[in-house]
Amino acid sequence: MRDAFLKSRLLIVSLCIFSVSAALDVNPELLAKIEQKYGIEASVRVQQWQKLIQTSKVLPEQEKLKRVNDFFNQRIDFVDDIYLWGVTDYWATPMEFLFQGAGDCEDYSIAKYFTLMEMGVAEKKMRITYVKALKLNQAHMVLTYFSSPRAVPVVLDNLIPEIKLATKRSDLLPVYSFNGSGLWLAKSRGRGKRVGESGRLSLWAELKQRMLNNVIK
Amino acid sequence: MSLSKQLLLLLSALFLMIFSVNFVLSVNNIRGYLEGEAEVHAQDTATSLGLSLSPYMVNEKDPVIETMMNAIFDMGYYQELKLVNVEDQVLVVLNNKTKVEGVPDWFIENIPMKTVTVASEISSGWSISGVVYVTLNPGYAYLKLYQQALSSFYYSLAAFALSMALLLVVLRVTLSPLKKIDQMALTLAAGEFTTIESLPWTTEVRNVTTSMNMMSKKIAAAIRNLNLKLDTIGKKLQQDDLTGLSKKSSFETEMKHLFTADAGVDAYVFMIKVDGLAALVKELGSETIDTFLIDFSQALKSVAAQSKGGEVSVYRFVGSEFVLLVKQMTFEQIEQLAKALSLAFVEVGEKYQRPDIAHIGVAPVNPIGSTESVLLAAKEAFAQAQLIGANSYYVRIGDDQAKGIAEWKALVFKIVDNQEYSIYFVDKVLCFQTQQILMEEAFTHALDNEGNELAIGTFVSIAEKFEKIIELDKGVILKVMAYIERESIAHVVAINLSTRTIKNSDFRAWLVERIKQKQAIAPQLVFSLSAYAVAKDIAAYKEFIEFVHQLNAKVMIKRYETQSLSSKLVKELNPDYIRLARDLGQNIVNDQGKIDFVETMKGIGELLDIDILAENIASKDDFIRIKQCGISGASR
Repeated sequence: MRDAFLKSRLLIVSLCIFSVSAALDVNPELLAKIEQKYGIEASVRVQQWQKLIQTSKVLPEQEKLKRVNDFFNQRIDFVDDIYLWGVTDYWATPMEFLFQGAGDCEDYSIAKYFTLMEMGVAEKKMRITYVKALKLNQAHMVLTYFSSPRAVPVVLDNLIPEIKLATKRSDLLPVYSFNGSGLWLAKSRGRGKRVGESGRLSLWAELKQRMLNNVIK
Repeated sequence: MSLSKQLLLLLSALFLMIFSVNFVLSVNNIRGYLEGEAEVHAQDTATSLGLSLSPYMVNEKDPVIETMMNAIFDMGYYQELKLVNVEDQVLVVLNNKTKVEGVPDWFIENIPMKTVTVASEISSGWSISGVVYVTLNPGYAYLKLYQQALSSFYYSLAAFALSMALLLVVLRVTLSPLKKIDQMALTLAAGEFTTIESLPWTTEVRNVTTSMNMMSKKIAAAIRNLNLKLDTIGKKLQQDDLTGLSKKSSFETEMKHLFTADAGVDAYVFMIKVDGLAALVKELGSETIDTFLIDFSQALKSVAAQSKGGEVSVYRFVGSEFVLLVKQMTFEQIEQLAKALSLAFVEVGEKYQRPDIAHIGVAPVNPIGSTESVLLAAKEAFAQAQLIGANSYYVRIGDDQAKGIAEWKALVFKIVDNQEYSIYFVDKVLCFQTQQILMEEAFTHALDNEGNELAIGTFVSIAEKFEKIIELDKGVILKVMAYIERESIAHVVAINLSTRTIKNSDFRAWLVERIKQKQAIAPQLVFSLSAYAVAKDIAAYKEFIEFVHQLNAKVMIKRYETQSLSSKLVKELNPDYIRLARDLGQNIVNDQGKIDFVETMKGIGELLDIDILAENIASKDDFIRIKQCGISGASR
């Protein structure tokens, strides 16, 4: 649980990098670099992901949720950090997540959260929720979607392919939830980043710019 | 403004600026830190409160919610705690507007701190159940900021004061040599050639000091050389080469003084001539004659030295002619002196097998007479002595002076009281450089009852004797001032003053008043003092010259001879002009000694900022020659 919380704080960096790539026009040159470094599959995944964002913007929200959930659940393999990165707790950036085609629950939740935001889903409707996976008896993370403030949310989880109402998920025990911005602020502070001087949005934009420079390296 | 003040002002302004900027930055930093801390504190509270409220938010009306919030709120750090539900309806709000004491209003107004409000979402189960808002009470931050600002201010102030004190000490130490140099420059200008022994450590100032020391030493050496030269030349000019006795010119100066400043002093002139010197030369040869003349003058000197009472001076006029000027002796003492001389001559004569070598004619100095008349009377007495016998003397008894002096006194008093005298201007000194008149000298002119012109020397001498001179000097000054104004002249006018006048305090007060009324013409008044009189009373004259300079008027030392005043004294007296004695300019063209003397005086004048003038240069050749010596000007 504690690990998951800390992990979630660090996630924000990944979020930002991811957003940068989304904002990018993924040009042939960049794709060539990705291909050279991560293989043709990675390059294909990035193109498919870009296509998903572009084509799904006009769809109803329920449909957006389904497509994003399916995209990540189907195309990305769940692999523990210890196998993927050789360490017990590695925070891959969403870009790495996409390039590698593998990751753990946090990577799924964040990638979904951000992709949906890019598709135009309001931030206030989504929460990243810390849960306990009862059957597995371990800390877990999911993305929850609230159609209205009082509504029972639906859960986007990498453990099962379907999107179900939270009340139907007796296998999960909710612990606490954060919105994206709160998570970002908490995370940044935890990493000793400067916060609070400029507005959250402009910080977000600034971070996007920084990540842009790093991603093409 | 002095350099130290300028530096002090500049550096204190800089220091003040640095400390002010530092203070402002420090207060701002503290404020920024406090604001940051406040946000963290508020966020922590919001998150913790959110987590704590989470299980109870299933029932929004549960009193535990408000109790829990009260418990947190009552800690006092918060201005507002607010809980809203998902629909943004307020469930609980707690307010505390009380101000924290100890922070003045002006501080809060001038240094605003933003009020931080943070929010934390509360979820219960899968649902979002509300948001808790936490606003911190800025009073605590203000109190902390105010305390920090105060201590920061006091520390800055103390640091500033300490820096100022240090700066002051450093400036003092660094700049004090400049003051010394300034003092040294002033003493140099005043003619004191001092040096600074302890050299300052600031390189530039040390270099200046070393240069000043070198300059001072060089000028002192130059002055010393000039003095030595002056002494040598002076002695040569004033003393007889063979016998070492004073020459006739010295006698004349002494006599002039006797008729003016020392009027009333009893004096006698002894005319002594070696009979038939020309014949002796033929007989004994020139070398023996020189020895003889030396022996003779030695005899004169030793008798003069042994004489009791009074004051005896010995002069050699020409070849065989010697003169003794005797002051303040009674008639009996004079006779004894003459007798002693006579005996001494016999002794000298025996040495050379000459029974009769010289005769002595003695005549008293008549205050209403002149040098010439006294010398003439002495010569007449000498002729009488020749008739008496070998090596004998004749003392001429004074004429019936009493009547003459009484008449003179009445006349002088009448003329001075009724201002029957007039002034005229003589001795126009031409400036060699500009060919303009540099100076003229005021002379008194008076007539006796019969309308005949009075001998002015005697007139002044009687006025001096009967203390009428101050009134006369005052009258002359007034007439000169009127003349300068009336004629709008541009040059300076010399006015002779007696010793009695310069010492008189009433006269000084009177002069201050007169000059106060006519300040513009003060620089044109040159008070002329004879070198002889000055030498007799250095202290009084020095003080008078300082007094005259304070009045912005000028001073001339006239009749300056080779032996009258040393150049060291001249430096101390600091006159504006020195007029050389008439004798020095006469026949200068043929006398290298005089030329050397005048040129040396010119050198001293340049160093001490004194104009050197010459008097009564009648001959054209002398005038051209003295001009070549480089002095400021001369009269014809």
